[in-house]
Amino acid sequence: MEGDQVSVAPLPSQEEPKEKKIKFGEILDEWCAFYMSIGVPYDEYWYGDYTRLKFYYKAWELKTTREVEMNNQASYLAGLYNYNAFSSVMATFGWALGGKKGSKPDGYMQHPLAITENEKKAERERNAQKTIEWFMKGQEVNKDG
Amino acid sequence: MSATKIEFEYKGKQYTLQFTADSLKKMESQGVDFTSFGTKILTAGETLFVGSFIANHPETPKSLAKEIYQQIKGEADGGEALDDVLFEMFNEAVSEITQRRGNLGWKVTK
Repeated sequence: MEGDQVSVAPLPSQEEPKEKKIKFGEILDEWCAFYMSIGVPYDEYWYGDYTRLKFYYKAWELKTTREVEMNNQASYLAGLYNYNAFSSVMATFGWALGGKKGSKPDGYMQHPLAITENEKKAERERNAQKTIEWFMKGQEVNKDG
Repeated sequence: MSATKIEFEYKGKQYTLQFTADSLKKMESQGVDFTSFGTKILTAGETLFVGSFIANHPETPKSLAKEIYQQIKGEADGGEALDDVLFEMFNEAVSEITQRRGNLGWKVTK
């Protein structure tokens, strides 16, 4: 009939999306997974004193920061050793190309870089020993002369 | 610092009320809608009080918990502060558990 209004139901795709309310329990579940990933035991999270959680979190932050710093240090050190090795090769190569004149380059470093106190002490002792040997050699040359 | 608790004795039994992640989840699964606290301010205190039994006294009937709540509320000495303490306990639990850097947040999405 003319003039009659016909209402058409919207297609499913045209319907207003309904708000999905996230349950607080779901949020707690997600946090449980997170806390377990940083070492909080399951029971501690659900039944324990929640004020301890911040210490787990702080410890995790410190550990992560320290790991990043250590990795950075290790990468820097690896670069330094590579640089040293390359320099040694270049020096030896240059010495050989130059007719092997002068003293032969030392080559790659005999010992790792001294980083810890023990390593630094050992390096000092090695250097002192070298100085003594050099001095003794000099005395022998003078005696012979 | 440890979790805030409410301690009292009622009819010869010692009670320690507190919230844990588990008790908050159980409260919700029992029908408590935390988001409605703003509009149901008059009953929210009692709801929290009943829920705070779950952690250490899960066997306590709700009717008994409500009876204790009404009795404490009626006390002249500090009874009216009970709701404040309960909300403080609730907020403390929620914030201590969920407020860290990279907060997952609690939001409604469409």
